[in-house]
Amino acid sequence: MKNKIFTTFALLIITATAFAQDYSMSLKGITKVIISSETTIVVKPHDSITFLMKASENYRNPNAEKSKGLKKISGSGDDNTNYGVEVIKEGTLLIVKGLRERRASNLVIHLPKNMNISVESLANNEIYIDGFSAEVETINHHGETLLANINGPIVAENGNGNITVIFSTLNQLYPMSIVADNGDIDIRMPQDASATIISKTPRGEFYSDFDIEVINESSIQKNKRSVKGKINKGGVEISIQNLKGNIYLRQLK
Amino acid sequence: MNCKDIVNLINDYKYNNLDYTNKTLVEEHLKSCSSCTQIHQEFIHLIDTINQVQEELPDKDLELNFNAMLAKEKLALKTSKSIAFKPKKKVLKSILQVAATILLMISCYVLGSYKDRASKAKEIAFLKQEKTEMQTVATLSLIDNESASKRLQAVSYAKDIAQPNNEILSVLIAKMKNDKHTNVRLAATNALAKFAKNTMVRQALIKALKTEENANMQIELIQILVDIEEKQVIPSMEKLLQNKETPNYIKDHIKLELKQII
Repeated sequence: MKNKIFTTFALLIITATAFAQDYSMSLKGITKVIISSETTIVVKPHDSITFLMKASENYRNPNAEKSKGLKKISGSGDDNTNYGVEVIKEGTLLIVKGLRERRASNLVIHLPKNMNISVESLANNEIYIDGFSAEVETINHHGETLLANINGPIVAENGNGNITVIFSTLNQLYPMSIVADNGDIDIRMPQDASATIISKTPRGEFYSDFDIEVINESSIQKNKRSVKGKINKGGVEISIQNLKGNIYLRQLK
Repeated sequence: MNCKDIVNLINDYKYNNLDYTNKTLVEEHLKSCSSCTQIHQEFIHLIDTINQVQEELPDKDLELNFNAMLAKEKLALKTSKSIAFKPKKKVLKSILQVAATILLMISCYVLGSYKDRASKAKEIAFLKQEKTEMQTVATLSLIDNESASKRLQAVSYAKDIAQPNNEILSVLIAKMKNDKHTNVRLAATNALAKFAKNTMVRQALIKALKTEENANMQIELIQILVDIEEKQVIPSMEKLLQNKETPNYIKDHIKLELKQII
């Protein structure tokens, strides 16, 4: 009896994996992954050096078996993954282009945590990136951006929508920049993180619970809504600019 | 990886900031490429030389001598105090002695430090020039890098150059006009604000505002041009006020800035 249960169970697992058909690709020789999509984009870290889209998390073309060996003819790109996603290697770059329309379900991608990534959300959708310790670049035209458990360096831009950045540590290597038009910028970083902050809020306010030592510099604009200040004796330069919304810089507790 | 890529990585390599794969790549390449090896060695040499430049301090012996003499003079003064009823001439003499000693010491110090400074000034001027050249090279090598962080770094190098050449200014102007990331464009615009006395830069800033569509960039350009009291900014500002597509909060801001310059 026990044997039978075991066999059924094993068979079930085998069939499940056979049907699941996750899409994965080796990232050997790749230094940066550039992702763009009209859907919400979620990027998660994993331990293998591969680019992975799981069948359990992503919508997959139901005609994949029928159209095997054929090419989908479309104006936007070549769906070479059967996930409505085009993946192309260009030198040391991996270009990942979501071909599904903006109301389609999320595009969920797994990458090694030390891979440089650049993500652009092209329509009214969100960007979620969690747990990366390499360069992270984001552009979001309309929607929320959440960058959690990252070290930087980051370069992030939001058109309309809030942007939240949670630093687990602060990489001191390269200057960082966070820019928004409309919506709030909310940044959390460790209490002992050293940084030099340049904040600009032409039509909003800048709030913080850090002890910021303001530097008066002649090159800083006369406008009182620009502030340059040191946190924990100063460190990596972080420019934060929000045209209409507020900037919140909080201690990570 | 070609030589250009390797040169881009040399800074990170020197500070041990590369991941294992890249580090091995650079090491392998340096073994085989003599020109890159030379660049690498020159870079290390330059960084070392910059680090070696120290603040100028007077010689330690001078301080010791001074203290010894001061102690002597103090003693002399004390002695003279105790014989205060002696004729005035002697007091005057001892004061003159102290004055002469101090004068002698100051002149010795000035002479010594002048000699020292003259030779060091040359060295510092040379190092400064070399630093500018290095910053120029670093800017140009990173400004078109695939990584936005490295492009920001390039802009920041350029901003630190005291007197950038036209090549650097042109590169910054190009970045202000065009980059995938508004962040880099804003940083370049900010760097240019520092060099706004230059006619080429000033004209580029005025011209950029005429065609700029990004709201953050518009406000940044207006802010810079109003700060340097450039009247040529007014027509562009009025045009933005008349444009129906300009959001109200931008218009409010422009009205506020217009008051400052008119």
